Amino acid sequence: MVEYLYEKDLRGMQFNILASTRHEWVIAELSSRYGVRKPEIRSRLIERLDMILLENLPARYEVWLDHGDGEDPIARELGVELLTVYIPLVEDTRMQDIAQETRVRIVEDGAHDDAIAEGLARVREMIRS
Amino acid sequence: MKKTVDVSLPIGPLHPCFKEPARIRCETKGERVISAEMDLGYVKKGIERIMRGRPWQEVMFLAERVCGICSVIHNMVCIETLEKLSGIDVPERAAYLRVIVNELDRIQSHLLANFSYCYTIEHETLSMYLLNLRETAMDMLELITGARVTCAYMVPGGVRFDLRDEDRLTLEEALDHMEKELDRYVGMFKNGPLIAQRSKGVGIISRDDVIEAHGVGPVARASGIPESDRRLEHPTYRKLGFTPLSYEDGDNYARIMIRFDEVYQSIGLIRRCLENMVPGPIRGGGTVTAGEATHAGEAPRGELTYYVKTDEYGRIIDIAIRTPSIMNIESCAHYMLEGVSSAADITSTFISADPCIACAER
Repeated sequence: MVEYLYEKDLRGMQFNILASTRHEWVIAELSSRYGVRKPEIRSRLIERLDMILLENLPARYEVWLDHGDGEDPIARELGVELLTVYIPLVEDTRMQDIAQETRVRIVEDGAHDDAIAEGLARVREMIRS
Repeated sequence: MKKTVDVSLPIGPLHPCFKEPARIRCETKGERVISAEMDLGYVKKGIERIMRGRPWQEVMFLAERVCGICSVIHNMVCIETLEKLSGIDVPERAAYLRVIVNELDRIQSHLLANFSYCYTIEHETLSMYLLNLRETAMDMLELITGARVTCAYMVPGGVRFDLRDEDRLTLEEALDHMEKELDRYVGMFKNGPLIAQRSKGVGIISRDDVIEAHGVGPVARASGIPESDRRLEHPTYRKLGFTPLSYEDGDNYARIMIRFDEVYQSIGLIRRCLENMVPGPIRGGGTVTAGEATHAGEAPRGELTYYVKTDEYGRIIDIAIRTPSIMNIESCAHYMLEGVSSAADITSTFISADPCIACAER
């Protein structure tokens, strides 16, 4: 029985893409920002992104550093556009909800750092789920 | 009532319109493309890993083997990165010769890209004319560098061969010939009613989407981002008074036309180099030392970036190559193809982005 190459599991190739120097840098940045282990980040990227988006990861991350979440400091700290537009790992509506709830909490309690830390923890769970 | 069905339409990995293997998985509603994803990995070279631990003398030859179509710019950016980290200067004549060879490479690459597009939309006559014209540029590359594809013309501190006076005359004649012929072919493309029908308003990508996906080169310039051209930052191009071109429409037609316009621009740049060039040395010398540098140049398809780290013997400790095709194919798969109204336009839109799988799978 002939087994077509394009029907094969390409996860090995996807992992090879993520092994380059620039990709390793992006994964390290995401790992330290959200407190998710690097193998877990790699695994989620491979599950949720197609191969050309994986290849383009460093360029997209750099664009986010330059332009992403520009007007909103809370969204910037949580990386709302980073995870929904530039490296789409999580659902947009849930991410917007987390950002909105963090904003509300900062206004009501004034505990900026605690609210951001809680928001990041929820984002972390979303990445892992 | 007309029935509309949802279909998952796979194109490739082997397809008559593709020069290299890649697979596009399109989700369609009837013929309209809803979304597209790409599968790669059929020709992965792992060249960055092969380069690590080798001396720069070997790596400069490997660099131009990343891609056969734009091998000159890989050679140029690799060498300029080594020069940057080692503080090596290039004589003026050599700098002009580098631009001449680089622009010849751009001419042949753009003509090949437009050939592929015309061939994909079934305009075989025009495509063959363009392929024939490309041979003139290839002949000139061979005349100056001694090779058609893997030229290895640039070395740290200069270039390998000078341009002889008789070759200069041949080059000037070739430029006149290419310009004259191109007028005719561009006229055919502009005035062809069927070409316009297949190209105008097809595969549109907006300026914002190009920025989001970091689209580069003709893809970015066809969507109104002229500042994406890395030649603006190159000292020799600045000396030549280079100004980038752009279109606003962001469709297939704009992407092909910008390449035609850039061929004219390259011819002009080569002529200016020939005017400005004075006799002098073509190699200044210099040693590659320990260091770390990132450098970008404008390949025919857009921004090409090399990150290189060397030890004191000039061995490559680490290297990362970011080719323009990665960003342009991504722009194509996730933005241009979305909403394409006919399955026949999928391949033409893909080819209009000038995808190079060899570059993307470096």
